[in-house]
Amino acid sequence: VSASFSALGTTVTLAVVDPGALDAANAVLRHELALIDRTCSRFRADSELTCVNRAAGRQIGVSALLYDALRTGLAAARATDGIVDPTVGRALEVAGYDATFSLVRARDGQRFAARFATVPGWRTVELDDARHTVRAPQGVVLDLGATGKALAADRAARAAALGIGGDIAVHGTPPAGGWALGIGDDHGKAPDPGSTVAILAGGLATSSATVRRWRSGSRELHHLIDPRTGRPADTPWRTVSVAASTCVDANTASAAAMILGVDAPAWLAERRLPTRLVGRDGAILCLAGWPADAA
Amino acid sequence: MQPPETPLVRRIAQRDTALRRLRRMTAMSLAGASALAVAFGGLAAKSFSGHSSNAPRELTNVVRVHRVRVAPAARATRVAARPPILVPASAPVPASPPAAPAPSAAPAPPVAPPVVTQAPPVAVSGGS
Repeated sequence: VSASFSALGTTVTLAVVDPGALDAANAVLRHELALIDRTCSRFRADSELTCVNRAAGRQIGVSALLYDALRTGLAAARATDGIVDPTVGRALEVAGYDATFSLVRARDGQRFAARFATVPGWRTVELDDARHTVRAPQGVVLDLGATGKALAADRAARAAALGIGGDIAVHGTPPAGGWALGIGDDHGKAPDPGSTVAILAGGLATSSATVRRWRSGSRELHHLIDPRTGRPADTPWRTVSVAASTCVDANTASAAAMILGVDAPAWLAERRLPTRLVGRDGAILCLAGWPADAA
Repeated sequence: MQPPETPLVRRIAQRDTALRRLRRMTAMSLAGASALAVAFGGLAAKSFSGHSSNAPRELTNVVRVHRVRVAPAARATRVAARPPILVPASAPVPASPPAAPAPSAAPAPPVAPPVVTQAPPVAVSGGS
């Protein structure tokens, strides 16, 4: 049985094997997501992350949750040599993603002029694990959009399959045959025909440049910023799905693959990450044990 | 009238001259060592990022560098510990962290790869 609702600017789906456990799991999940939102949102004036972004170079103490989220974001940056970088916040803002996406989408793109900014780089952020403090230089805007939802899924999936947007974590005893998960460009629509796969544990995440898009004059932009250029990544992929040991790992790899572009298949194969890449022309490339779509 | 210069008097004069030379060399060595200590001390103080030998005392605490204990999904983050004070907004920003980066922790593959199924999906993984 499953339940769906809106949170963190996207759709959340919770599925459990035991129907009697759904209500309790749902309550725990909603509490966890509300906490994540209050802590890690770049768009809330009262969030802890906003306090860090406004600290103007000062060192400030943060909660264990935000510290964990920041540490996860920096670890993703390190694991991808800076391709998935939490310091892209300023570049996202000036490119146009400066409010919740429903507001960005509603804006008149013909009258909006995007700008681009250099990404300062994750190495400029300092964490103190003993004191749970963080310091980001003045002008650095941290964005946890890449890893935040995946971390929330990993934290909140207890004896359940939990999907937050395209990021899915499964935990506990799976149903017979595993958790069946559809794959598509948009998590809110029907999956691609024949794409449904089953996983027993870990995480599965999909990154796509087809959903969070907005206009700047005659140009279309998307939310996957390439830290090397400060601009939306020029990628040959429409959508990349990765299965990994955790949802954070899967999300990190799928986002990195989108940004790496033509270098993604070699990067993914080297890490033995089962992956399904869909090119702009719709051609599908499966790597490292990801099964071909059913006929 | 000067005393006659005997071999004994000559040796005493030579000894006194050697002792004066030794005292001068000792004093010069001490002065040189002090100057070098000051120079290297200043160099060491400047080698710690974000600190200055001219800064107030609370800004000159030694920076401790150590490894963070991280969850499996976020292994190998190494960060710099900072003193528990608010650093002024105008404080210089280090060009690079004082800690050397730890080896990369690559995303780990799943226990088993996905398999095709005909079961109806409980969720869809897609862009959001």
